[in-house]
Amino acid sequence: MSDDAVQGELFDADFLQRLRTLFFKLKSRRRLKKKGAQRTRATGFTREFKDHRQYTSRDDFRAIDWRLYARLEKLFIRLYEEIQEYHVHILIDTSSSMIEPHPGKRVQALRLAVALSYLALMNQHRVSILSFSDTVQQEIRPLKGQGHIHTILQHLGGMKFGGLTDIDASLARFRPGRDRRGLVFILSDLFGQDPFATRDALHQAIRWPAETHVVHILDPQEVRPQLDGEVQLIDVETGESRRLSLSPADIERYATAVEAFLEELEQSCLKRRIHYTGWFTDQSFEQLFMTLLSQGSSLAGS
Amino acid sequence: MILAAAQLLAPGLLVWCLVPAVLAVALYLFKRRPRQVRVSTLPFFKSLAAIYQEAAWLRRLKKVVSFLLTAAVIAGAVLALARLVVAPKSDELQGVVLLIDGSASMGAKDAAGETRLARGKTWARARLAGLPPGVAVMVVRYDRRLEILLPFSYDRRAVERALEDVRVRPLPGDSHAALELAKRLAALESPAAIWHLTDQPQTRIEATPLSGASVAVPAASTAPAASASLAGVVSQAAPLPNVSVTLVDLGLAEPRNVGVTAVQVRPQPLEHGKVECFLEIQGAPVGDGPYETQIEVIRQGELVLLQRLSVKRGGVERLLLPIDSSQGDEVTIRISSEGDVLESDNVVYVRLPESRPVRVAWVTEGGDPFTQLALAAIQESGQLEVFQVPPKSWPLADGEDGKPAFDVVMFDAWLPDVWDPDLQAMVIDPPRPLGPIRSARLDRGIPLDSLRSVADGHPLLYGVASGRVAVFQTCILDAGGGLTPLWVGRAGPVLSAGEVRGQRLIVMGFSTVRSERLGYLASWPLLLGNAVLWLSQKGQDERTGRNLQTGEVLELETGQSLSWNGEDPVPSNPLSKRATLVELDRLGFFQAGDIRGSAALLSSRETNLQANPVPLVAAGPRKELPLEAYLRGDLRPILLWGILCVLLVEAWLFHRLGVF
Repeated sequence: MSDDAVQGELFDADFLQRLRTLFFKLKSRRRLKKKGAQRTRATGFTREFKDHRQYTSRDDFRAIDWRLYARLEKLFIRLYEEIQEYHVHILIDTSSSMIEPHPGKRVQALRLAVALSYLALMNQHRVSILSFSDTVQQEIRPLKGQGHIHTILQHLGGMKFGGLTDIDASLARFRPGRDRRGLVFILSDLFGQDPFATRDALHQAIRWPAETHVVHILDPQEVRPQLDGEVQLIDVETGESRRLSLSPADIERYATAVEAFLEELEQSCLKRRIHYTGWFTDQSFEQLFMTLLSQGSSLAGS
Repeated sequence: MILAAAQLLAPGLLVWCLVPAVLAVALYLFKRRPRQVRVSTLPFFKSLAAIYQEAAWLRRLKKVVSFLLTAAVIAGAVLALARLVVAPKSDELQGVVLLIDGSASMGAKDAAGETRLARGKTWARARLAGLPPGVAVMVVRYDRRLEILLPFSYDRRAVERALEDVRVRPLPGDSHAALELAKRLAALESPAAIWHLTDQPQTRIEATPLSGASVAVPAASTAPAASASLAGVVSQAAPLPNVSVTLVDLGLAEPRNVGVTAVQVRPQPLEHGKVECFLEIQGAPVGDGPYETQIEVIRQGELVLLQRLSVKRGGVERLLLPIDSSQGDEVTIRISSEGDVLESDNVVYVRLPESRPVRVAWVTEGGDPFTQLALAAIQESGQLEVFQVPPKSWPLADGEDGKPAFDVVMFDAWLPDVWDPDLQAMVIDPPRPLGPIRSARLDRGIPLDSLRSVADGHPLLYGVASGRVAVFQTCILDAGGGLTPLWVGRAGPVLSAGEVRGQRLIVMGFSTVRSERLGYLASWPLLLGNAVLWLSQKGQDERTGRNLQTGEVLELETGQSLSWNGEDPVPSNPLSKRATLVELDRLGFFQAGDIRGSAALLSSRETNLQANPVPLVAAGPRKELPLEAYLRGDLRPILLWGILCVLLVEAWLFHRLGVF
């Protein structure tokens, strides 16, 4: 299948239209009135007046509003809004488990990456696309401006999937820059050789000068597989096989183990102020996307 | 050591081990492959089974253990199928012959109602429980004949089944012969032991078989073939080493018993239609006083005689009971006394003789007046009917029932062209040799004034004054063949009688017409009467029925079947084209075609129960066996239980979680 065909499959006109609709809905909802900047609570040196405050000895005297002093004979300083530009890092898991045996995870990951990129570019943020499996790799250099959305679309359509998952090594090599505030989105199924090692690997995010979101993309079959009887299970990444005779009770035990792992992973992320979102491929994309942004993402401008 | 002593009783069945081998290869080649599923969450699946969290060496160990268990199951199944048997050590007991007396006396009951046989079975079960598994057991039952119920076997359940099958039959026993034969059987697995369960004391067992039995009814030509052959074996038996005999005396401490030991029915002299029954009653030599016995004679279900008799302890009482009977009546004689422990000797069934007159055909041209006179004289008694038949009427027509119309045929100076071997015949003055009659005609004849009698005791000469008889000899009889010379003259035998191939025959080599003095003597009608009765006796025996002793054998013709006491007959084998031998194994009246008779115990050996001063109580404490003893004998049960245990262990180890 050619890249154009893949791109058409992933980001068809209908999806892009829905993305625009989603963006306008989000804009009206969050009152995104400014472009290229995001207001924060801090004051800065932009030309946008925000408020007055009484002068103190530690303030810059150049900020004294002399006109107001003439009227009130008290020293006030003018406060201006501080405008911050974000650097949005989108890390896409390109290991084999993202495309096999449930290719829907790859589609969801790429669509989510496009949606996030679109939102970021429309808000004049920088966007970087990275892929990781056993190591991290810069796929697209930082881009800014909504005109680059097609570049991102084209590149994501041709992204290759395969290889082992080594989240620990990958995240160890990922270092977001400190020049501007960062937003990191990790789009992955988080299935490596050892699920608990994956959990520990995510703890590295607390060292990053960025707001980290983990989007855990899962297929419902991975939580509660429709298997019965004697099967030969083959790991899609390592090729390791196991022969099992599965009964409904075994499936129940498996589901319990997976759900316990997901619960523990979410709790672990919350403890370290990492936003965790479970993303099931059978659920509505728009709803999940709105949920993701409504969890306090800076990208949403809340 | 154990492997050296092991052998396979059915090595041919080892071929069946190819079946699981082929099956295993086929399963390996064509086994259904599991469905392959590619998953991204294999670590979670692996966490389902603890086995995957084990070390690699432990998994390898388990694989090896699984293989060994599977191999053990297959090997165990093959060896069990081939019946692996491990013989005991050479110096240990190898076999036990359980020799059980099943004769009538074993049915004697104690105060609790338990028979001697049941007591013996209890003892045997207790002893068998303590017997090592490697000892083979044979179960032999005997009464008048010996029957091997189970050959040497290590299967204790088969022994138990054989033991259960032992029944008491109302037959006299032959302990001596059975024991001697059991010794021969035990020698096959020596060193061996014989456990002889009987109520007979040692002294009686050592006696000659059935010699002590005073059976008044003689065993006729239908003597049991089994006993005869068994006695032949016993007589040649040599003392056998390594065979020990344990006599388990099951006799009662005080067996009070009275029984009928002999019975005979005979016509009353000069009383036509009446018979007298000779009865011998014996009392066992135990107790203090005599046995007060009541005798009941029941004919056709009606009590016709009731008599009381006092039988001394250990004594014998003989008495004659007059019985007025019609032809073919069935009479039951039953005795009873207080405290009697044995029932089978208390009843005797007697079939009364048929009193039909003997029918005689006198085949003669003219008819000798002296012979005619003599026949008329004996005809007056009503026991004889003589019909004079001219030779032109020969052969004689059969009666209405398809049988010969006459019991005896007299050929007087005439012989048919062809000899009939089924006739009971008397030939007077044979004109020529024919069939079994071998004679040479004298041209002029020899007058004999005196004859020499060579067999005075022969029934033909009963009451005949042989020394006073003078005859005119017309032919010389051959002294050979099956005929016995009775009168011998100067030129050779004059009168011969005997049985040739089942045919009774009397040949008189003299002329009654030319014997001048013969017709005036009383000996002539006596000789004729004796001859007629002797010739008719054989057929009369068959008509009047046989009062026989149980254990005797009847020969039934093809298609005949034996019925007891009016019940439905026991069908004989329809495929058998030969005559069959049937053992009389119960008390009562029997009938098989024309043969009618009765069977009763009539054994003083069974009736004369001996007191056992030390009655058997228990089998003694059971000895604990060493562990090695359980690995001997037929290992099939152990192998099968082992297979089951291995399967359970294998299932628990590797299949309890359903994960491979």
